[in-house]
Amino acid sequence: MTTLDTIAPGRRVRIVRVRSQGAVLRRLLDFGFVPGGDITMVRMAPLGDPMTLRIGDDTVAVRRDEAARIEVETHG
Amino acid sequence: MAERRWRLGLTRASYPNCSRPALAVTETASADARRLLVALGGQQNAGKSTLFNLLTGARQHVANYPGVTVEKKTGTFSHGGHAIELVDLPGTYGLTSFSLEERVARDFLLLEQPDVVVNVADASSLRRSLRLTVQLRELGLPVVVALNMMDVAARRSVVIDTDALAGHLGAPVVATVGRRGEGGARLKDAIIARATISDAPPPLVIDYGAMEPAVTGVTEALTRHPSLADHCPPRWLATRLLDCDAEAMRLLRTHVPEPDAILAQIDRARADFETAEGVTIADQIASSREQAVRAIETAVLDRGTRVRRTWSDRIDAVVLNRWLAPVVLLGVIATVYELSIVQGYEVTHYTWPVLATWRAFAAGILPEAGFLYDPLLRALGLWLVDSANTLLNYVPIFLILFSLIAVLEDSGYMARIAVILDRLLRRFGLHGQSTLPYVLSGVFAGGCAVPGVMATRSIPDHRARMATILTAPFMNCLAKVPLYTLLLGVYFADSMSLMMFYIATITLIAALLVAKLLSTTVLSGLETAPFIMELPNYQWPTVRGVALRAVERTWVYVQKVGTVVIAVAVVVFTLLHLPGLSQTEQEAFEARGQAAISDFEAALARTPFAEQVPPQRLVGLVNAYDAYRATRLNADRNTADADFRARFPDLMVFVAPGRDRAERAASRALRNLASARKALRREMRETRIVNSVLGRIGRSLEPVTQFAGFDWKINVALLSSFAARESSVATLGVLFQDGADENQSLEQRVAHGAGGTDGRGALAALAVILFFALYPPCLATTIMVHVQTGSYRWMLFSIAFPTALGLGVASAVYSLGTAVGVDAVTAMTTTYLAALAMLVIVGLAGDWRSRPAAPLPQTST
Repeated sequence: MTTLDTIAPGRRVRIVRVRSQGAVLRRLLDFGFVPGGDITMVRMAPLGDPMTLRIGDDTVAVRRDEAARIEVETHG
Repeated sequence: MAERRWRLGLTRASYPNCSRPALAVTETASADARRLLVALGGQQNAGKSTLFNLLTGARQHVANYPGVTVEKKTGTFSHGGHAIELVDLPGTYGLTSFSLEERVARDFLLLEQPDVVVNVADASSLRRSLRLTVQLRELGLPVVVALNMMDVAARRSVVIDTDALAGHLGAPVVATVGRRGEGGARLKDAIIARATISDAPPPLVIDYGAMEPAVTGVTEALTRHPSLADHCPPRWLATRLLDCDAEAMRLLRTHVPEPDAILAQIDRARADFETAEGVTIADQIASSREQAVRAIETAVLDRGTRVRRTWSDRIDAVVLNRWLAPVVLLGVIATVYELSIVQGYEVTHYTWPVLATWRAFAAGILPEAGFLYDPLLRALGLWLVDSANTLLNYVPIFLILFSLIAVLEDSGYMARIAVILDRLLRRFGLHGQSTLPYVLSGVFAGGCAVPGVMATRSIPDHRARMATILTAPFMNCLAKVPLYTLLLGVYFADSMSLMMFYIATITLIAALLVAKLLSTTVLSGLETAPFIMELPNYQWPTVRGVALRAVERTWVYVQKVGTVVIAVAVVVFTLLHLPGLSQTEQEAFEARGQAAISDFEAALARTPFAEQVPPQRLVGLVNAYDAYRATRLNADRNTADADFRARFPDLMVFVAPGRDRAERAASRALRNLASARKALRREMRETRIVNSVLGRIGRSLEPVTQFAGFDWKINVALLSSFAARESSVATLGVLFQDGADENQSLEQRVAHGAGGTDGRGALAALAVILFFALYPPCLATTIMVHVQTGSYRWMLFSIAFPTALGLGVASAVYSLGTAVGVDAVTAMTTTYLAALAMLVIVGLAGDWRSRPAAPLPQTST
């Protein structure tokens, strides 16, 4: 399964599942990381982490550790 | 309190039972209008604080929520005959109880039951804002939505139908532009209208799809316990319980006598749902809510032509570019440094005379100095004015610095800095958002740890936040600079800039190493949080917003630092003056003073002016002479003449003698008397300090500090600088007084007094510098550490740890350096390179994993 941390900049993907729990899961859900939602990978930070994502109208930075728990599929 | 209780029913039909009788009265008779409690809630970056300022103006009060370190800002205003108390809730993205801020916000809403909850929503990011609004309305709260940043939305041709939005939410919606001060009056009207409404809309009901049977079943079971329904809507509680919310469980256990049956029912319902659907409750709730939010968004929002974000994207492409990011970051930091520290110092050249005038004014109204002894009121009064002046001298620098930092925050660049530096800082147990506290504390040669420690509030990761609080004080406090300059000027005049570079950067190295050490040891058990950070769109900061923030932070500095420093100045004054001179010493000094006066009188007797200076005029004359000399040094001769003439019009010959021999003899006699008196007073002061409590403590510490090369004078200076760093140089000035008379600079006197500028002296000076760089935070900062950590234990730790570290490093450098016989610059270079090597090794040792291994996959489809 593809995870979000492996997506190249500029690609648009759809969230399949969020393998997380507790506080991390809540925070991800509050920011709209919900199964079925669309995400665009914008760019990596200059030092290679965290990554910048577009979700809805928002731009959100997420560490790769967190992104590795988000399973995604490329748009059909 | 009956009218403040939660209503049982979920439908409008049941509302007549629970209308608010007290409010029915307020609608007609504003004279007995009661005080309304209004909460202001919203997500970060939605403009909550600007709306808070817009509603309350300057009438604010800051405290902590009971028992926790989350700041609680309260303000009052009146509108339409109602007195309103506005409480600012912590910025939260949701209302689950997983973070401290969310717990605090939810507890306040549930326990205090405010009359109205103003929900600040960001019109330019409606969907994200609605996630919180929907949760507030599910809780059945009396919400008024302040749809903020309408200007930003409009610029992106986003049109929002506020009436339709209000209909969907069951809450009035008011469009505002907080940073331009628009919409305040309409918002106040809406608050009053919502508070005095007689038929309040029921809680919002979200369709939980396949989970509905479970939710309905649990809701029905809960409705049988009316005491629960007084606290929150049963349906809301049912979803929270199904979602294993610990706080909700606690609520159930407190209010239901035998909760086991219900808990079992909940567990069964959850298990049944999750096996049947293959989805966790958490995911189901999130996606149902997300569907509801998107449905509302689609119904009320028209995107128009989608030109959104282009500017922010273009700027990000530059400032977050791999190669350009460091260039831009360094440029921004250099600009902030140049404008605030360098230019700020220039400004103080113009503001210092104002403070000096104030001191002269104070000196004028305080009781006049005696010949040898000053009245206590005068000595203490001037001591306090001097202490206050050294602090106020920094105000221009802080105003500029805090304005620039507010510009960085409001423009959106500060969030980018956090993203750029997160990976680096994380290696040392810190967080991208540790940047702001470090910058405020003076990462580049000048700042103050008081606002720095205060700014750690926004760091969501508890462990990283503690590590930041405990290491930010290592940064270069502005008040450390004078001591560095003094010692560098004496011992390292040839390699001053190299040494200054070492000092400025070794503090950052030390802070990073200590942060790493603490987060892997004493802090390792603390809660951490994921790094998920919103990058707000770039915006032009408004003058109003920047000015407000800068003044607010500077005022905190003046208030917190000022009160503490004044209090401690009194203590240090006492410790430096008690027990004072012994009887024999006093008599000896008095005899010498009398001898000087006799000399003067004898000299004067040979001139025709003897009769004009009777004993009762003598002290006044000497004081006026000293004032004359001081004024002539700082201002022009005419002013000095005028001042003196005002007091002793008949004695001008003493300061401005003509060619007449008698006049010159009289003038000379007075000059001799004045300098004899000055010398005596200085000797008395030094004797007093040697005898004083602080002097004795300084001596008693010599056995410990000898390894670092500190003698008792240095100890006294370092002890007194704990009150405020500024006083270290002032205390040294008093202690190294020999030669002040010959107009030697303090630099020369220190060099002379400390046994010359040879290698040993320089090594001792280096030890002092290193100790001072690692020195514990000043008292004001430790108090701020207490405020931010909510614990005296951490406050004491923040004092004890750096003291031990500083003394250890200083002793090692001094003792080893003396033993090996290296010169001080080599010793500093070696120390610096050793620290740098440690930093690289620790940094390369791999990313600091702040969490346990990835939890078991909770799958959802």
